[in-house]
Amino acid sequence: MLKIEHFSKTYPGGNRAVDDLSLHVAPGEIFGFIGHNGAGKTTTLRAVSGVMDFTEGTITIDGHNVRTDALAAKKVTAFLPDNPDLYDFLTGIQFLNFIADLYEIPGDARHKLIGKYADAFQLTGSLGSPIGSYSHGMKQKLALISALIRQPKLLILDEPFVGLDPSAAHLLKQFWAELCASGSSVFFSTHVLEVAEKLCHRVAIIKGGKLIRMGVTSELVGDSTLEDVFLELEGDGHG
Amino acid sequence: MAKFPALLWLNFRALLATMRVGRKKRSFSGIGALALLAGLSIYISGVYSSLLAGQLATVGALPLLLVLMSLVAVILGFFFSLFAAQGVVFGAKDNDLMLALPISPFVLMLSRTLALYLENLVSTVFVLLPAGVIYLWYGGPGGWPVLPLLLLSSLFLNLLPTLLTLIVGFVLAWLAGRFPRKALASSLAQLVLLALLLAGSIWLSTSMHNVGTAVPAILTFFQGWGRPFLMLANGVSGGDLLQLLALYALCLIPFLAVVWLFAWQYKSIITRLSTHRTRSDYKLGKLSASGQRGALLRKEARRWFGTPSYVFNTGIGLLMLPGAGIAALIYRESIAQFLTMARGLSLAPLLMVGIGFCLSTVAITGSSISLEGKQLWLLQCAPVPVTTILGMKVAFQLLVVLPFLVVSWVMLSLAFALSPVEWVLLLADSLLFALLCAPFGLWINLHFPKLDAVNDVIVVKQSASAMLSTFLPMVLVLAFFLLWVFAQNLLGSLGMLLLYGVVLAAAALVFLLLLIRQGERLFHQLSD
Repeated sequence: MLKIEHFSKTYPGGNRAVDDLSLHVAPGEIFGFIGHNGAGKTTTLRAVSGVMDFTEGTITIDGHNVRTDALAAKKVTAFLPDNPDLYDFLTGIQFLNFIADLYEIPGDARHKLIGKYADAFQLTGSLGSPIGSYSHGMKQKLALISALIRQPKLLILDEPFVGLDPSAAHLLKQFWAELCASGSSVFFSTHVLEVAEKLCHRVAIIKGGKLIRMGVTSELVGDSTLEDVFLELEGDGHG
Repeated sequence: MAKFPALLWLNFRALLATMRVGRKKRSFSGIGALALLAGLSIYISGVYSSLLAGQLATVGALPLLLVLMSLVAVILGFFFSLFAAQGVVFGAKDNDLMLALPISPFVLMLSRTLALYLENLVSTVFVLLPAGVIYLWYGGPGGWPVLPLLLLSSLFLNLLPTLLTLIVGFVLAWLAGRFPRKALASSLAQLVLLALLLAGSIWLSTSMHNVGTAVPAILTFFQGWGRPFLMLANGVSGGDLLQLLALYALCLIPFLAVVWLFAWQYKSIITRLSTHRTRSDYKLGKLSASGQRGALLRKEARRWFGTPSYVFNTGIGLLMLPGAGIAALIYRESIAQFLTMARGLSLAPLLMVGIGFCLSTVAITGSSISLEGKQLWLLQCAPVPVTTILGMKVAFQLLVVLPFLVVSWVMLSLAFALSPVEWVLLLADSLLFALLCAPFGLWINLHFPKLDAVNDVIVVKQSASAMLSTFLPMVLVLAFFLLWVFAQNLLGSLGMLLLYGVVLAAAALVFLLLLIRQGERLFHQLSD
């Protein structure tokens, strides 16, 4: 579903945020991307989602090259940054309609999907209010709904569990499972290693912009925990 | 107390940073912003003072120049910093962070107010000092001590616009939070303010033409509500220190009282202003789909109508266009008499200059990218061509401008009894000017984005892009005006309109092409 080949990103000023990263995410897979602050996780996610330009390497989503066939790649993708800022001047329903229009979701389908996800996240009653009046958690739920109604083939999320209440986090995991059962994939970054260990089929650990370990979660962890593995790799000077 | 200078520095930097843009290589410094403010103040003061001084000197009432220019200084200061008060003092986005620090709300409010005062001081000083120099140039009484006294007085006089902006900024912020349609309420309140300001400037301009004969009436006014300005002039030109001390007290005491009141209740005020209520009774109804272009256009419209400062700052020209048309129709007979007297004078190009000036102020696209701010990711990851995103921003400006333009064109053409060819050329030139401004503003904003502003007010009021996209087209308007002044006999009305049209068509085409060719690259670079 997602193929990243030799991706590197150097910011103006010479800071090389990601260096020769290659990884694949298979259809139906939940893939965790782990690393300390500034390791290059967000840079990678932003490049994959088409938010950020890059010149080195190749990224393809469902066979569409992110650089040369950007619109087709974006059409099958939903991306949520770590702190999704939304249009405060729109109401919740106006925002969801806006997103649905951009992704060309037919009227009947959007009604069904918005109803399903907004009811699940208990946000339907607030959809008529301006987003500016929402709490942080409500904004995060709205952003998640806007991503889920697209029924993306690749869902990309940066720290999706930060700010979510336990029931919303539980729901999100359920919806991921639904998506993966239909052949979609989830590619997300997190600092919550317990979550990554339980949810992810595979994980990749990045340090200083370089991939230092990747594999099936159970094989990578073995008899230890993901936290131990991560701390050990962080400490042993990889990268 | 060591925290206070640090806070003051931070807030003053925040005010200055409103002019700075995202990319370092093309950044405008805060000093540049101050220089621009100072330059504008010197220009306004220079023009008004010269015009007034000549007339006042002939009737021996030169000290009135100081009276009038101190009033201008207060009005300008008020106008320049009104939005800063609303945005920085009462609507700052870092309130949670600041209130969580071990700083009292009292000190926080004081530091923000003082930052506002310092920003205002630039315009006050650079209005009063040139006025003082021109006053002395025309032989005003008082000698050289006038200048240091003016400088000292400006420190106190500057408290008045700061006080006014604090009060009005608070009222606007309060109104915005009280009404269900708060954006509309705020826009209406600001339009009332604008009407007052326009009325004031018209009064000043009208007075300027017959200021010599109106001296007694002006004096009567300033002996009432305008007394502080009279005290300043008496103190500075006559060396009456008692009057100066009384003026300083008049400025200082209400300022301290109001600031103390706001500072005392600051935490409660900003908490109330930032409290929003969310309804929970929405029921999902039928949802209809529309295309990407429609969605983007509606989004632009909702942002514009939902952001009072955006409507206010880019909508003045829209009001001026039909306003000028209505005024021209009302004074149609006077215009006809004037045209009969000034046979052969071609006014159609001058009308184009007026229309161009109004259109220059409607720089909606000049802030359009900056206002995406932290929400830019939504457009960047959407499966929509960048040309469509940019095209809809241009289209929205044109959709807003064109109805007003056509209505005013009809009224002005009727009132000035233009020939059929002039009607057509005036419309063509006006449309071309509108066609130039929209892509130009967007191109400028792509080069000078301000994506990290603490609030929308700063983007639409003080960002480099907002200013450049407004003032650069005005330079073109000025060039047209100079051409009319110096070459009207050579080219004639039609020739000039044709020349305008060719220049505008070429410029519009250039910026449309630039946007098409560079737009996508510049849009993607916004993430870096």
